[in-house]
Amino acid sequence: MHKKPFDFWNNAVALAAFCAFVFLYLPIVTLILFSFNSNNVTKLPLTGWTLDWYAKALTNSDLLTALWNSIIVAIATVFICLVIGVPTAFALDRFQFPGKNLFRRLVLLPITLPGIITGVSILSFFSMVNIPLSLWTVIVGHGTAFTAIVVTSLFARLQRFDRRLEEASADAGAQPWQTFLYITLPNIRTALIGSGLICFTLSFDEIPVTFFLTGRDNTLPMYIWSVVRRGITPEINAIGTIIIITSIVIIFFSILMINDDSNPKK
Amino acid sequence: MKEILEVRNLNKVFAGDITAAEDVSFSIQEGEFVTLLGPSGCGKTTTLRMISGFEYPDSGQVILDNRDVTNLAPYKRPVNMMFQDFALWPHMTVTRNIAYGLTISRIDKDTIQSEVSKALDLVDLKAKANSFPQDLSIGQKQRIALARAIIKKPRILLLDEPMSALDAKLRESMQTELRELQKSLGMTFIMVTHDQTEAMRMSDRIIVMRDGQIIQAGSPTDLYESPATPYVAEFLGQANVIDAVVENVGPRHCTAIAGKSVFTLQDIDAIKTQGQPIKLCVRPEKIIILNTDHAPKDDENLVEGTLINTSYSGNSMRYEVDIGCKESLIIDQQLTAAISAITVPLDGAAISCCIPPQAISVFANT
Repeated sequence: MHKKPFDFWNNAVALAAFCAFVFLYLPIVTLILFSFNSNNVTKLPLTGWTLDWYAKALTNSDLLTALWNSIIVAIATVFICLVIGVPTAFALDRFQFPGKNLFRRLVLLPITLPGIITGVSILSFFSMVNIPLSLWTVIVGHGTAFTAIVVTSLFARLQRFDRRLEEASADAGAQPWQTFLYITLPNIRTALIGSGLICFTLSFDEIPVTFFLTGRDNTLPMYIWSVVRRGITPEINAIGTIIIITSIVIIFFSILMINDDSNPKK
Repeated sequence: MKEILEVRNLNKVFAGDITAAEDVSFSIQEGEFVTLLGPSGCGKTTTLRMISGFEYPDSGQVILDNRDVTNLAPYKRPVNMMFQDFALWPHMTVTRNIAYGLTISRIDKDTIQSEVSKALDLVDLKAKANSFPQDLSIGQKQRIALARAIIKKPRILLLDEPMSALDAKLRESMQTELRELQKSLGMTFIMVTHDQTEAMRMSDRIIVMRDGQIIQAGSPTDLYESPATPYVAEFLGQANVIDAVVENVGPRHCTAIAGKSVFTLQDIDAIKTQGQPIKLCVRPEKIIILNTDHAPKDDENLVEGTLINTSYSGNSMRYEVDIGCKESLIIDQQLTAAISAITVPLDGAAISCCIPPQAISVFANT
């Protein structure tokens, strides 16, 4: 049997894919590996397994406070983004108003603006109106920066949504709120969950905007950054590993929900 | 018979000066099957949507059971619609799709269950009760859409191009089925379609629309036998439209010349004076080809010409005959035991035929 000519290319593509995979995941694997390494310097060779760094991280009250702050900020950001973004997306999809096209483009601007610009401009606004910096100002900053994500993904979904499904509901006798609850919402649910999760993760590791807008309180990325300036500790690797695993779990559940949405049981 | 719906002088203009309805008026009796027929953009769908409440007219009224519902929201009207692409909810099972209208009205569960099961029986799809719409065939989807639309026993069922998604064979059987269902339920149906065969086959009455206006309304036979305009004649079935000039005006008969032929006419309401340009409409199947067995009677209009094309469709033969007019004359001949496809004349042969005066509709030139 002689080899088919495209076998070489198949193998080459497989190798390229493998290299890309290594490029993407080697740093993460390194982080996880060193979080279990007993040596307190991040350096090869590995010296032995330990869970000490996890114990240390989980008893470090500064770190835990920062983690908790980050979670609060991220949840509040998601809330703000949805509360502002959902009505905006509906307005863009369903109503005609003067300046609509300009508005649609301006809504996107905050994503493309560097965080440092958003941070500085909100900072000067807050100092102008004399609002002291706190976690609340961070939340407002994150909300400003990420609302556009909800608007764009929901708007795209609404554009694809067949409005006749709503008409059929009204035809069957449903009041507008019933139509929204039973017909519209189930069909845009994945867009809401998806964009909400993106806002959560972006807010969770946001530094530039937070840097300008936080008062005494530290968020987790700010804390890590301040610690790492004095050198990477295995403790940071440990908390990094915890975050990675949490993210994987969240992603796993969001995929489960998306699948569930396309073939619901009830 | 009781009047169930009256539509009075509906007008609707969309943005960009598109006139969708202009002075549309008609009324519908309880239990009737009425079809709004016309090409796309003629305003038939807009009219249907004004009856269902998805559009509101700029002026005019919709009266349902003696109640003015013109500006009532769709969810407050006792009419239901079967949508063109069915608009089944993809996140609900067949059962939940059908039950939705009842669930929304907070009817007790046992009643809902028995109603849904009756509806599923009616459309013969019990086996698919727990499937999702995307797992059904087009024909099944249509039945579910139908079941969903009649579950609340609407005063009127509105059908928006119900067959457009079906293939030809399925379409024909669905047409019969839908018509039988309508009769057995005794429900009033208003259907919108652009397919004249479908309209003819299913309706008690057809309302022909064009450019937002009603051109003619009547039973399928009325429309076919006495079309109000050449447009209706050509839209419903095949028609020869011949330009002619009035030669002689009499009290009961007139004559007109087209090409080399002289026509005696009985339908003379449209004729005013000698020399008036008119249009003659003749159905292709009403023209008789002359042969040795059939000699023309005195009052039948003899037309002679040259055969330029024949086309064979199994049970009938279509001839195209040049009679010296702008358009050639189309003649349909039913093939029987006596007249078979083998004995038909060849292209280029001289053809004589006659057109009975009562088969000719006469229209003034506009």
